[in-house]
Amino acid sequence: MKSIITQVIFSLATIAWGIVPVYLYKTGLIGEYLNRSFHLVALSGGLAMIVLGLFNLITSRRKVGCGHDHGPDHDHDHHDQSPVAAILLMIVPVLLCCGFTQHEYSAKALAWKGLYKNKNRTSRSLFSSSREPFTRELLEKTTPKSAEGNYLLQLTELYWSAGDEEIMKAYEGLPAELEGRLIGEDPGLNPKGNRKRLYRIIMTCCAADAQVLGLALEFEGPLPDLSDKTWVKVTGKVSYERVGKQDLAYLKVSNLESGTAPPAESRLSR
Amino acid sequence: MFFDVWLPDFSFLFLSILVEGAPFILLGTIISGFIDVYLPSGAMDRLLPKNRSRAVLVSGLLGIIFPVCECAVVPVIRRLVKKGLPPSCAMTYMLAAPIVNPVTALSTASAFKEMPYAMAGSRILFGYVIAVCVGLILLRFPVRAILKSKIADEIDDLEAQRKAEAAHAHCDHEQGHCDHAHEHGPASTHSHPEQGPKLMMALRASMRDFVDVAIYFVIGITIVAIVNTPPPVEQDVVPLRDIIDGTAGSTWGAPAALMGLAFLLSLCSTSDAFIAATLDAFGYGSRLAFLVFGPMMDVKLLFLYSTILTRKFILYLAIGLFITIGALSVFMDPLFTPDPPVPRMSGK
Repeated sequence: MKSIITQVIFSLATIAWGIVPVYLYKTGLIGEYLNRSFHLVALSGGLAMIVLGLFNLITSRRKVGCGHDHGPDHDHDHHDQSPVAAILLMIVPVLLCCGFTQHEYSAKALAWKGLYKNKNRTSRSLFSSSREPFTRELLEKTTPKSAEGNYLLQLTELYWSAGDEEIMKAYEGLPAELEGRLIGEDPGLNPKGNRKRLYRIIMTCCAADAQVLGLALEFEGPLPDLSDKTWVKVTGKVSYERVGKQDLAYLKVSNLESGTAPPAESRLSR
Repeated sequence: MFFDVWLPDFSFLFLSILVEGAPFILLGTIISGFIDVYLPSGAMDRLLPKNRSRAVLVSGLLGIIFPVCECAVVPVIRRLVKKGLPPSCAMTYMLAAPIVNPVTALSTASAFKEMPYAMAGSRILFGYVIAVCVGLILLRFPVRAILKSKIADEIDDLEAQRKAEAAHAHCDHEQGHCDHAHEHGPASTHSHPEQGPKLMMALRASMRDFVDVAIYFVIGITIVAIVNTPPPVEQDVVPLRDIIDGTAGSTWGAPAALMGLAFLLSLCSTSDAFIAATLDAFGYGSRLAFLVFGPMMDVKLLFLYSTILTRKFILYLAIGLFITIGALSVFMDPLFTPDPPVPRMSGK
């Protein structure tokens, strides 16, 4: 009887773990948690956990040998863990975390992850695989444009462009369109009060290794009245400024529209 | 503050690591369940060279044929050890497989675009050499100094049973030359219990292993999530990453800090190279230390290893790997030809 109860609890714990990735995938929230290369892995793993748990739950009353060759004194009880440990360490933490998660970082965690920091180290390999000079002509050849003639840039691309004079020269003054999430600017970086910040999160595995890349947006008129973390599409001219010893990119905004979140699979791409 | 900010951030991180790592643990435990039922005891002994040192050398390369990451490899090793794989070979495979495998090699090469072959090649070589050295050293240690006593007991039982079976096989039952007692009658209670369908047994074993490992995994990822969540205090606390960045110029401090980062981040070996590539304030040697130490020892692995290894051995292993990988990375650093300086770089 004890063995059946253990089997049932272990099965439920396995099912509980499987439901989480399947639910996140089904709702599209998986994009907030994992890099897109892990989405299908998580879904398949979740489904497999549910199948494994259900199979063992359904067959829990059936007695089977352990399938390997032990001596006559072998009691067939292989469980290293008790059912209580499975409840306390597998089911309870997952239920609690599912209840408390907001499916995104708080503003404090975004700042902790580097929202207002600038790395200011250009990685040239992001811009050109060869040693040839990076010019406006090369940029124009490789960058798509919107119907209005704005260059469709990635926030990450602009963020990493600061620091190398040759690359900055190619981007300076470029009419650009960017997509990202809007948040208030750090007061220390916004003495005139005319700035907001656009950010994207990049991750290679999961949220534990996430880096938040932020770019200042400078407005001529009043600041947009949008809540923090709203997805926006913003157009303007690329500029650079020197803060302390660092060159930083920012956008002089000409237009800003609130938009919808991009699909999960492209939300956190590198 | 705690319930409004810290707990949601912690929960977000916890679930993120869980949904990323759990599928790989499941894969490992399903393999282990099938090994338990379908792989005969002692089969690994027959597959590997008889010479123990050669067997260790071969074990370090098994990841090329069975590519698994560090989460998946632990349950597999746990089962293989119970099936008679020598601990020295098991440890070599466990430490090498997450690095010496084609998936990790490809991801490392694509992350380090400036020097893909040098970085991927040196990571594989470095990982292989370290794992083989550990395996060769362990040849001199008794099983009970390495494995948990419960697992060591199971291995002893298995060994005793194999010896008994070998003796049994030499008996000539048909001609009545057997000189010891058997109870093979219809009412025998000897070790031939009624077996259910093998698939059911394998899946039951898989789930048992999954739960055993998952419980330790939870403890590990809880610590990782705590470390990566901003503390629930009002004043600003310097993020860990900033402290680590501050060590970039130090010969010994840089690899030590990056190994510490790898330990705390507990990244998957198939994608950690993309993080290492962004640590461009650090030399290649230090980043290599990050890429070799991380898949061999991190917070979650510490707890996963404790499903099979003794605590004392894990401690010695962690210290030994930290010192050896750190020292080797310092000596290897000058071997990497740095990129020529980029012209007109400003802001440094």
